[in-house]
Amino acid sequence: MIEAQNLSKSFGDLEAVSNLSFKLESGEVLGLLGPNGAGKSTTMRLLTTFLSPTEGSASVAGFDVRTQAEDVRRSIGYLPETPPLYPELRVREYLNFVAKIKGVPRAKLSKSVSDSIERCVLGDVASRLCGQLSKGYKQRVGLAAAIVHDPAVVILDEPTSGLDPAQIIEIRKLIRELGEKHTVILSTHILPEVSQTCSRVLIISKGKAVVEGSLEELTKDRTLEERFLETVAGDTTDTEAT
Amino acid sequence: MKKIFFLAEKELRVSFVTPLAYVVMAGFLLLSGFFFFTLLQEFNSQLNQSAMLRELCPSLNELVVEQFYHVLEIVLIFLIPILTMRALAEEKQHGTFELLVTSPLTSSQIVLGKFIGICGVVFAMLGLSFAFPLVLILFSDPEVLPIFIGFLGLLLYSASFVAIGLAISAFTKSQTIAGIVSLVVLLLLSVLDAPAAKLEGVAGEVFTYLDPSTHLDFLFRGVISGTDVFYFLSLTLLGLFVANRVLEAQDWR
Repeated sequence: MIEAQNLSKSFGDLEAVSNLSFKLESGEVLGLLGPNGAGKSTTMRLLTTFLSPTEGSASVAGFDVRTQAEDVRRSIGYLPETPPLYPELRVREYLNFVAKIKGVPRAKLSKSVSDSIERCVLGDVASRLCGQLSKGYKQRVGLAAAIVHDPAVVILDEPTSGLDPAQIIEIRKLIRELGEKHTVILSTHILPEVSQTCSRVLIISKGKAVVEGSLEELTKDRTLEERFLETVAGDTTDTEAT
Repeated sequence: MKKIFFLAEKELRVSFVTPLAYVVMAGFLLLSGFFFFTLLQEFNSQLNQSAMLRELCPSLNELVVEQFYHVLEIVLIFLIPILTMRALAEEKQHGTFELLVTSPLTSSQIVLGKFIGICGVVFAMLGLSFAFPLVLILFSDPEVLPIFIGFLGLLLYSASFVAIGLAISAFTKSQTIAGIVSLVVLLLLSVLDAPAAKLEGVAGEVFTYLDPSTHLDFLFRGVISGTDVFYFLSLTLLGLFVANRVLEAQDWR
């Protein structure tokens, strides 16, 4: 479903992602794990065609991110680090707008919007202005927008950052549910999140892939935490392990 | 095509939820109403004078409508940047730009959607200010056709300024910078013909041609010609083209 080959991206002298290769089959949930600044967001932005790779290639849902960007965009739902909301729009209006620009046909529009509202439990706030929502609701609206057009691939950049524990549990549950229907990539620096929601893990550090495998493989002889600390040792001191 | 409409619709919706559009429109109407009143007063006093001196009756079109349009021309230089500065800069600031760029939209759809949305606000504002010339048509007897041609000139003129503002807004994340640069560019464009008189030959002609007021002068007098319409249309297309290229070329961070 997703394949990256020697994917590289540099900003001037800074090499944010270098030579990253990985593969993800349909229906898997990949946890992109790494310390702050490891290149998680950049990797996601390359896959969503927001950035174009300096070198290497990637394909999403069978489409090349460079040459078939438009098809890629049709097949993905993307939640950036900060949910891209228009504070002036009401939740339902916003989801309607997103569904329209994602190309949901008119006949299916209201059903798609209602479904995403239901799946993200937004019924209570559907007629509130996006700008007036709490952080947790904003995140959920962003998530609803990412799945409103029922994309094959869902890409979530730190979906649980800044949420309270109850909300985190809810969002994780939602992500597990997403994994049943969609192929999901999520980034995080929170280790338990990976073991709770993902079937595959890709640990990156300084833009390079250090470990890739299924969760079972990686946790056979060691805990994920040991793996992580071992692979990124010396890179960072602020790894969060909540 | 449909997506352009969706984007324009969103733009209008957002504009009319926040007070910004209303404030700008109210300000514009207040200013235009004030100037219209002043111009009428001036016309009245000239009318009385000419009656006393048995001179030719002053023309309502020349003294009121034409002057009124010239005032609006100046006011728009200041108000259009306020409406266009947020266009693309705000999307980048809020991160909503990431949503647009990663949706199946082309950059020309994004640019055209914005353009139509903002033109909607500006045209609504101009439409309301048309009430003043309409008063003249209803209660006096000016020549009607030049009033409409002049108004068409104003619409063409604002569309081209919106396109320029949009292009400038595409370059930056900062609304303030977009606003200031747009204001400077539009002001500069509007005074381009000032040094033209002293410049000899082609340079002078080029400066005069590039100044929008050269073309508006004709339209406001009711003279419609292909050259002037072509000037505004090409200015609009240039702005849209630049905005589109900037969006296409930038590798977003």
